[in-house]
Amino acid sequence: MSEEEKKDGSAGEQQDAPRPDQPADKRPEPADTGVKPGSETAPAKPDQPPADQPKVVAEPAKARPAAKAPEQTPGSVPGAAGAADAAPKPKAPVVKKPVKKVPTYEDLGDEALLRDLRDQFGQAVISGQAFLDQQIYTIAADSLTEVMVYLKDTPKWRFDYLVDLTALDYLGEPERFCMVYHLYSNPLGRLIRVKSRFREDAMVPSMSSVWQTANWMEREVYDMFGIEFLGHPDLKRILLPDDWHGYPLRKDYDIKLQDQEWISKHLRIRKTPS
Amino acid sequence: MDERTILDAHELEINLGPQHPATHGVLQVKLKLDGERVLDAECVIGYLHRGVEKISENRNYVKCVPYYDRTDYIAAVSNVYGYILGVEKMMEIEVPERAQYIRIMMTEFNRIASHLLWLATHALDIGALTVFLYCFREREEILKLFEALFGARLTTHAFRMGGLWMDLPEGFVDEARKFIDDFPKKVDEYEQLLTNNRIWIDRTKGVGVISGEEAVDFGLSGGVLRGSGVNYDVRKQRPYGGYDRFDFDVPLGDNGDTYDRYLVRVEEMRQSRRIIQQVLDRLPDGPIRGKVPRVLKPPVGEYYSGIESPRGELGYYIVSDGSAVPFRVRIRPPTFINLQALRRLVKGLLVADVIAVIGTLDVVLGEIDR
Repeated sequence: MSEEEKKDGSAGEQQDAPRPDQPADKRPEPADTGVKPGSETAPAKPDQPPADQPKVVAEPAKARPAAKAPEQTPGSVPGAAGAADAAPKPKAPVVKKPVKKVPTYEDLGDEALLRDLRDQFGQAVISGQAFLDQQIYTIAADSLTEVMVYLKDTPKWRFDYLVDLTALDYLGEPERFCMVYHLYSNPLGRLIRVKSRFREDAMVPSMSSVWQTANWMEREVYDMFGIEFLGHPDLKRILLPDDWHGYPLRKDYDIKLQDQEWISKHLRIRKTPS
Repeated sequence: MDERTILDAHELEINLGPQHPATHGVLQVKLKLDGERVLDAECVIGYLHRGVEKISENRNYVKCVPYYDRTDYIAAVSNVYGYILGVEKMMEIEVPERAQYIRIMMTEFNRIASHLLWLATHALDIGALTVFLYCFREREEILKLFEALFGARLTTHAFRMGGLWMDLPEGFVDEARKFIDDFPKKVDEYEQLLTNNRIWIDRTKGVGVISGEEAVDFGLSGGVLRGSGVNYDVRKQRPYGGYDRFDFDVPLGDNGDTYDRYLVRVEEMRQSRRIIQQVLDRLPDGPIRGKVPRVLKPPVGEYYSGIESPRGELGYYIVSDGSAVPFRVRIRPPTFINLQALRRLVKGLLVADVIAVIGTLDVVLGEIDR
């Protein structure tokens, strides 16, 4: 794997080219991810003298100053900007590349459901975004149940089908876990995603009284992440054995980690000294 | 005294499985019985848990693919399809039309093969051996087609990012045509054996009834949901991969019992055949693989790619942190969620009906446990 990653650095550069242009759009979204791609490379590139390398790799570096030209020209870099202008031939493909826009999170703005939720719940609706045309509504943890019941029971929306329920682990962030719900409305034929962030020690309200299907899905989340659900009728492990220790899908649970005690007790396999 | 109790035993707890041929894998059902009547049923699953989701977080986007073959091994083609569609969408990879057509054709072949296996084992569980032999005869033909195109029969690793591994081999189209030309007659044969069969009707009609509303509440999908008359087929509701270009009907049941689910799935086989026919008639020429970057690094973001697998809605929720390794891949397994309804479906039925209901849910334990 490490080999693979090293390769990424060089071989993937061409493909990544448009990406350094993007972080500006992505920055408002860092709460969702721990890692920011390209943040190491982006600041480095404008320092390169852009004209001396006619290679493709240098092009995004030029594309960047070109976009910011108005601020930069009065400063000490007019020469560099001028050099970029003076070499129009390698620039031709540069125009092409930004056309293929990297998908980003877009604000939903005045979308009907978001407006309705804001009217009903005010500040509890933290954000409404779309990524690749899939709408994401982020709800404050303490209002989650009310919002879900509203989404399910309001005749206007009727999100009667809980398609999926899962969790994400953002290790190291104060609100460590993110619950993710996919809801589908049969009358509207519309799929949305509802997200809510929880602290590690917080109890997540169980949705099993709203949709029966949440029962096993929450058990799976409990099994894999150790998230406890308030009001769940039968919260116990589902895929792993009942007496297993640890929660495998947490980010601090290494892939090779096993419950050695359980394995030696039940399977009589002792760990081979490595 | 309760007149239903036999002997003095009020409640008897027995284990059905995990080593029981009629549980279709290592499924254990703890049954609480009163005589032969089921009071309660609890599923114990996880015997096949391999941690596919965890493995996905430690492999790059391409290397994940073979693992999804092995979740639902009966429908390996559609399993890979859902994931690849999701990654392609995030990477904005364009798939050539020919590849899209072939993908749909193979997915539909897989649906037929999967339904055939379901029908064969379902009927076998209930006592109809002949159907089993007939279904395996046709399934073999499909597996031969798989082998010709993918090089494998079961864990096919069917599709690649951006298209296909290779174009259709010589003679494939003729073989496929031969199969679909004969197939309606074969389905008639199965129906002749079962649809009006007195025993089959007695064993399946009114068994495991669930209303449409309740089925939605339980999150059921696929044939189990449509057997209850709910019109929800991801291919129609949220068309993916070019399904909107083909004509097909979504069969629906009325009563939501085992018999209706049987009728729905049999009709689905005919509809799948219709789709394959259209693909073969309109198969365009051209490349089979689009332009794919050497290293797949989807932008920071998330995408839910849901498809209609033979067993129901199969979803891949892919979260990317911008690196070459997924931050998280959540598989929404249709049978895991369908199996949850088993408890509700078998309450009050006889032990023999439990077998019929497990059969009608069409469970694949590899996918349930992942």
